[in-house]
Amino acid sequence: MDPSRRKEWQTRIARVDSDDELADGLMVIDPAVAWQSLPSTAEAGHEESFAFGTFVFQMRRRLGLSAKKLAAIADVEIADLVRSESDPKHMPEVRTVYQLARFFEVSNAKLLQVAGLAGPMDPALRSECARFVKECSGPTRRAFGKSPALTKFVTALTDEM
Amino acid sequence: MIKNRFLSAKTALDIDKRVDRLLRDYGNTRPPLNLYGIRQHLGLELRLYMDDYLGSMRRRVSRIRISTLRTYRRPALLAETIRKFDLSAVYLPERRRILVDSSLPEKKRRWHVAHEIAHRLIPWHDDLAYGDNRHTLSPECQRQIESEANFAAGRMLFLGNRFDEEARSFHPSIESVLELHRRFGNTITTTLYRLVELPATNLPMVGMITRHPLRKPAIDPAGGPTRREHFIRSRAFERRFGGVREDDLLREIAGYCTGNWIGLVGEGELILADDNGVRHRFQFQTFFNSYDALTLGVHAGPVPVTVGA
Repeated sequence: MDPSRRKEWQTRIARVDSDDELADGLMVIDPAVAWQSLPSTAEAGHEESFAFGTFVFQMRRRLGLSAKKLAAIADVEIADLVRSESDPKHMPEVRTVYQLARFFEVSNAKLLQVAGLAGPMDPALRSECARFVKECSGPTRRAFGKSPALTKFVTALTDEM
Repeated sequence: MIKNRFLSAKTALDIDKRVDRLLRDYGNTRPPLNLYGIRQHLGLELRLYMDDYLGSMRRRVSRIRISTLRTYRRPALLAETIRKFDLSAVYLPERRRILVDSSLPEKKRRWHVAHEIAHRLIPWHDDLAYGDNRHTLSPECQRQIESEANFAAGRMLFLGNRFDEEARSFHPSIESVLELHRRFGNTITTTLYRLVELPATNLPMVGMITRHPLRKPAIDPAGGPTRREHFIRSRAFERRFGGVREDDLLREIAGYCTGNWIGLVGEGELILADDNGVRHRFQFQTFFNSYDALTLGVHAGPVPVTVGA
């Protein structure tokens, strides 16, 4: 393209495309809740910040799966899975939570709260989280994956509660 | 400045498959994508809203179920949501309806519609729209789902791999952005974004969407910036040039810009240091469309090292 035509063409396109900007639409969000002020579970500094990782770890052990095997079956990133289990400050991917909720047959909406991706957490679920983490990490803890606390926590994570 | 986020490989692949299936089922693989047909195929309705529509919505909103019970208790919720967050588009899952600001130019509206269709296409976004009315999403969760919807919208509007194949047949430049923009019928801005984020390329590239580089940043009375500016990096750039700061780069870009206020406003070679301190040459071009300056920088090789005798 010759330089004069190139300049003319670019100028014309610039005019047509002016006032353009990238935008990202939001899905419907309730403005009544100031989400910016919500503390994440990790920031809250309570037992519940450990709940997601402990839950995934305990469920994996109950099913006798290695982290690699679980990541393959649930089709999630192994790095995301391993960090979720070991780092209470880690925010998992939304898709990871969704895939794990489907695999473990629990409520995705509740697991999102436990993972710190939605909030504030229901008070009942919060106390279940605290109890679950305490029982799984205390001196009286049962064998991995066999704790009655896990069964109770799974019940708390179902939609019916 | 907003930095582009890269999705994890599994998330990107999952979304890619869903978009590919949609395009295949719809049977349209020639650009520009017929978004009307895609909406029809998915059974989604489009409504344009104007400011006075928000007023009438206050009366009619009780019939519009968003996803939360709160809507019934506070009928003005939807109008309030749109205003408060200055939304240009909203997806109402239960109504299978997309609301888009009627004042948007056509191509920009196209981006918003594709973005909202993407929310419909990604199943793990369902619970986030239908979520319990007492809860909301954390900022991190929002950032993730908006990045995913942007990614899906880009893959949809640029017809998946077709854009990648065509883009690779050009040398990356503002001219190729404009040509690809013409072929695919999307905005120059989104075309620049797609070109820089082109997968499976090891070429370090960087894009910026900013004010005119010779113009000082406008500050609103609250002290914050008045506009969103973007800093887009290719994977190779992010991996090797993580230390490049966008503000420093914008200052250097201003150095080659002329006082032109439309079209190509300047081009030049800039030297950027990689994370090991090695200096590299980049060819930069900046284009101004009277609102945004679009800059593309493409790696041209390391600076030759002169060895003394």
